[in-house]
Amino acid sequence: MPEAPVIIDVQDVSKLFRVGKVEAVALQDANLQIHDGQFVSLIGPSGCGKTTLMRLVADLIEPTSGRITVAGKSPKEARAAREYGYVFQAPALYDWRNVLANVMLPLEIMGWPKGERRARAEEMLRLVGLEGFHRSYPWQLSGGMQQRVSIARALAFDPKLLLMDEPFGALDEITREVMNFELLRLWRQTGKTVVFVTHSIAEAVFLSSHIVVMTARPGRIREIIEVDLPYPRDHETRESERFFELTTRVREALRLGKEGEGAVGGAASVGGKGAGGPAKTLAKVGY
Amino acid sequence: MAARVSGTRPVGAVFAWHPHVPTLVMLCVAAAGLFGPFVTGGGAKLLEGGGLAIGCLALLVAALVPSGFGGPWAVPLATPLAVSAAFLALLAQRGLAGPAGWGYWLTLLGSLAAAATAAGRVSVIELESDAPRWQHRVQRLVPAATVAFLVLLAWEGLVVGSRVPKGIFPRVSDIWLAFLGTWRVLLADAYLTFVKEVLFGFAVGLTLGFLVGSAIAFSRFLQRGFLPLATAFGAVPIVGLAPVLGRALGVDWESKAAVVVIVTFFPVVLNTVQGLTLVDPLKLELLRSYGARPLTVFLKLRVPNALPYVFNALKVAVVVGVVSVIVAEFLIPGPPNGLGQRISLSAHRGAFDIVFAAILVSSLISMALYWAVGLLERAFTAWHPSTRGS
Ligand SMILES: Nc1ncnc2c1ncn2[C@@H]1O[C@H](COP(=O)(O)OP(=O)(O)OP(=O)(O)O)[C@@H](O)[C@H]1O
Ligand SMILES: [Mg+2]
Repeated sequence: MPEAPVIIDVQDVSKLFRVGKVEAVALQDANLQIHDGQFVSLIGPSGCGKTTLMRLVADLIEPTSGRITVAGKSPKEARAAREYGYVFQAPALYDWRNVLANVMLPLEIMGWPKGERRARAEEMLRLVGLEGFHRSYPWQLSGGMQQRVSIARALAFDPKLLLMDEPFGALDEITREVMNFELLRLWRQTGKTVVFVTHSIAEAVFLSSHIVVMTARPGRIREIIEVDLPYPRDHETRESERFFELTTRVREALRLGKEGEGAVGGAASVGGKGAGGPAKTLAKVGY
Repeated sequence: MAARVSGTRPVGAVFAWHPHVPTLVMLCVAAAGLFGPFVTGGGAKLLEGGGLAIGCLALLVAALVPSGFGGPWAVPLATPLAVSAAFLALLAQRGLAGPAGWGYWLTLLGSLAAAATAAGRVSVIELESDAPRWQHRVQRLVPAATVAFLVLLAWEGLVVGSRVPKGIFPRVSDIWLAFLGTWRVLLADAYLTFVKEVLFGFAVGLTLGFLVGSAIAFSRFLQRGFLPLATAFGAVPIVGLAPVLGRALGVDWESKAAVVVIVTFFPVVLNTVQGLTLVDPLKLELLRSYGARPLTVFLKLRVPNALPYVFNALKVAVVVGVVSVIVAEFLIPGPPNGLGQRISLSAHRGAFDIVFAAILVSSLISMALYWAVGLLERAFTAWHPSTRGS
């Protein structure tokens, strides 16, 4: 199989937060390559740096050390070029806009013609199952509905790359399953690259082509597991033996990570295109 | 035997009063007053005055209607009507020949208390949730209207009864007559005070305040250099500067508008800065992720976020602005008269009925202003937790 080009390249990236005199290593020596068209899940205990990694890729914060490339550009250029859509961990809807206007927000900013904006937003709302709520305001919706609006908003301008931070965390089991199927269908139809944060092992295995297992304190990438379940995936996938084996493997990795034994350096590559450089010590930040 | 039966009853049930009893008792007090001496010394009774027929009829109606219908609404609704009719009959007397007698005071206090207890009944009636809308509306309006009405009646009654001269403290009816006689002049005054001075000052203060607030929000230097000053300035009693402004800008409306500009400017600046900068970081990051330019962030996020803050400033400015402009007119006397000027001149002449009429007009207009700001606020920030849902 010919190798797809690398779309996200994270090299030796560390992120240190300093609050007053206290320093916290949110991410240490992360190496990760995500190839075009992959569906990559980040999984790991709370506080292991999943959100931090996503925000680094999105150029919402800058790394303390290391280098990131997104679609061949620096994260800053990639952001200016609107390469990615970001679904935040909280819905971040604008209270003064109704549901439809919230979904149209990115389209307004990107200068879409008026008629197209509306049609597109309506289509996205249909996709997330919120047809009847165009005129509602965010505070009139449940948490799960708000999160679906924010997913529709991220999909609206059709970015090549989707960064989704626990998008389905607030959904009930049934809606979550429906959304999983919709997301998989959309991904396969459009060939987008998806980076997806979740706390659910089963969800990660069901959706992903690759799973990045992370460990906390300091936040590190521990292992990358390739999910070799064939697409398209359906209910039977969940009952297959391989599915069970893979969930067990992810669980093991998380458990071992928790015990903190033999945490690996963090050099890893998704899709096997050669490992990143050797793990460096953080000379720059005075470790 | 009978005693034992009644002894087994719960005590509360034996002594439980019918809820209309207080009102009826008060009506009896008022009725008794009708037969007492109206003026001390003199034999005149209220019944002999012009209110004889109306007063009797009114009290009769108030006493009979509830016994006829018996519903929970009968007494509460009939009594205020009847009492006001009785009392209006009393008011038809333009003055007392001598000091008020006990008949006068009994009628006054009895009818006021009856109206108050009846209105109190209205406000505690338990309405079914599917009761017609008018019942809910009556329940909301009657207590407020009754209290306002009672205050006016008590004012009138006390002033008449204690025979305070009009030149010291006017009756409500005097104020009303003064208003009827001078409303054209008062409206012309109000035009100067409210349109030229308050509204103009508002518009300028709001615009300047918003522009300066925006500049401060975007400049670290101004935030450090100007904001502390602006905060300190907010505490300065600006009206004190009115004479200075009068010297600089002349005695016409400009100097008074300048006072309004200043008292509007500072709260608007401070609240604009807060509203533009206290933005949810996640909402900001969202726009950043779209590669939005600063102007877009300003228009699509910061300004809507600031609106509730600015409206809060405006509501403060309405109250302070009206007070300041009236005081400024006291302090900068000039040929064109505003309402403040009118109050000050009339007070010097001892024409307190006109003073009160002018106060009445300015209160009504400033209430309307406050209400209009509230209406605009509701229209522009319906999404905000402080306005939503109501
Ligand atoms: N702005 C910040 N300032 C200081 N520390 C921060 C900041 N953002 C994150 N951190 C710290 O960095 C670490 C990683 O945070 P991050 O939000 O990436 O975790 P996460 O893996 O997304 O966790 P969760 O699953 O709970 O969302 C945490 O220990 C957190 O306290
Ligand atoms: Mg997170």
